[in-house]
Amino acid sequence: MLHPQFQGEKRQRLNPLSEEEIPSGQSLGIGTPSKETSASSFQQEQERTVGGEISSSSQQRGAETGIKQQFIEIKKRNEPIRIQLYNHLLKMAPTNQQRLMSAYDVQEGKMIMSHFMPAVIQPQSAADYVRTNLEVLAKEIHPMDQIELHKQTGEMVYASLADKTLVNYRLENSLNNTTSQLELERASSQAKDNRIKALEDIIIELGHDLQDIKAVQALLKLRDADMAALRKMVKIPATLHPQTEEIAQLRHDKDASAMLVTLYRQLIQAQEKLGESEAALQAALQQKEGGQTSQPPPEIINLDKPPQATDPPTQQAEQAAPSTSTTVPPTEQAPSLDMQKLKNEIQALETQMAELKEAREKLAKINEKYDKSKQSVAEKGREIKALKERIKELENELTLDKVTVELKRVIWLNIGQSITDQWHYIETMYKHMVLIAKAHREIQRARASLGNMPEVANRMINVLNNRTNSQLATMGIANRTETIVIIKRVLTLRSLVQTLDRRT
Amino acid sequence: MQTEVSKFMEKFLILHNRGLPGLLNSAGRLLSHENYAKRVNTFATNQIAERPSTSEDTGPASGHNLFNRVESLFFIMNEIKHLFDVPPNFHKYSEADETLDAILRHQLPTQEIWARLIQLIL
Repeated sequence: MLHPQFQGEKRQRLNPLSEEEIPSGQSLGIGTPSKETSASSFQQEQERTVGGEISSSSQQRGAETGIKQQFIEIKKRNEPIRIQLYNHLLKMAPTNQQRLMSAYDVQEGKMIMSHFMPAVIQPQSAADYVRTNLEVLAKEIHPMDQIELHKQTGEMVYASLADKTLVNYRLENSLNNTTSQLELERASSQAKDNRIKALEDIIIELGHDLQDIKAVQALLKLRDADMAALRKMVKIPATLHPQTEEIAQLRHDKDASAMLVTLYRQLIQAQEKLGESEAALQAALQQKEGGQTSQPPPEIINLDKPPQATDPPTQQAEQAAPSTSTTVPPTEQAPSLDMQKLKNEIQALETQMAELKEAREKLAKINEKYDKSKQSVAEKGREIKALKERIKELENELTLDKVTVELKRVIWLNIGQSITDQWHYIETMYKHMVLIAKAHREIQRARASLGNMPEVANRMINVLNNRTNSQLATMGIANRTETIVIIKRVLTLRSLVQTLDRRT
Repeated sequence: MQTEVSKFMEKFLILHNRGLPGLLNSAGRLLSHENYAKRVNTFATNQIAERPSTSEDTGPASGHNLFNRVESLFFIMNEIKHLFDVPPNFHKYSEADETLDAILRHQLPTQEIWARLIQLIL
């Protein structure tokens, strides 16, 4: 809430500014920035700014009309825009709907809520709503309720944060996995590049001569090394996965099938070649039967040295070369065979590469499945552990130990209460016991001290009662009664002892 | 009085054999109620905290087993409420104490007087 003095200033400010105020009023926030922060003043300021932009084109006639007149004109011009904007906002907002607005007054610590109920079917302006204001003072809300509200709001915020953090964590994991995969791919590409470079170097070094056997051999050697490296790279650790044997078997089957396909292709090629040679022979025979010559071609048999099975093919070829003129020289046939072999090898290598790639993909999938299964196994393990603990608890409950303990506790409480109730009786009994023990001791002591005194005492009393005073005087007894009383002390003690014995 | 004390002692001995802590200290004196309550509380706590038997050892507990576990306590709880058929009082105690006082206060004739009186019957 503003001070009345400030309100007065505000009212003055709301009036159109005079001409003298304009130079400094271009920045209206300079003079009293803190007092001009209300929504209405801000709106007016905006309107003035807009008006300033609009009126910049007609500043020349500003000298004639006053600023006040300009302000009114600008306001009039802006009014349709404002209405249009308001209508546009109304169209954007869902119609025929209740609205609730709230604001908090920090200075007074008051929450103001306004409830807008549409009075017409299609409300167009604020006047079409029935407004109900509700003000709640913060000091009237119990601190515990405020704490509870903040706690619930905090929980909502923390839940959102936790969700976002989880998503972030998952994304980070995915990113890490992708990075690792990229690194692997990069390493693989680098290895391939190196291989290509090595091959290029060999080709450059040895020359691109298809008939160069050394180059072919070097290539084959490198091929073998590559194969070994690839096999080593794809080799699955023994402890990695239980399906390793399955993959190896699958790969072995694939190799066998590929070999069978290769053999089948070679067989077909051989059959084709055989068919071609048969056709050529038939054609030659038909030509000969046509009349040129009726004699069969001379059969040349080299009888000098039979070909040995252990000789290398080149040697055999060299040996067979002079025997017939139709055989091809070895220097022409070997390179083509080697190139064919090389091509076949390269093709086989590519096939194996493709298979290896496929196997790697399968391995990746299997690893993924294995990870999932590992996770599920871990979860199951945790569940089993929890279930075991639960079973143990249930077993303990089955032994009724808790029941027994509770029962014992209750019973002991009752016993303690009963002891408390009976305690003064117990104390009484203990005093009785102490007295009885003491009495027995005294009885024993008295009886010991009495001895046969009671019998003697009776006789003494009898003697005293049967003597005269003179006789007693000669015996040294001046007073009979007093002497008898003294003697009767013995009898009294005996009587007391008997009484005590009886009472205890 | 001796009969009542004996009866009490007999009953309490039975309770003691069933597990109720003794009433006397090492010197043979009766404990104060506070100390005896502490003794009972400690004993009960130890008994409750004893390692419970598992089902592997004994199998599922039956009602009979449960009864055996707490039978003595039930016995003590019931018997201690009926420890005294008639609540003891101090009537007989006072009489006996009075007699005992009389005996303690009583004085026999001295040895000298008694030796002189003996002369009467000689």
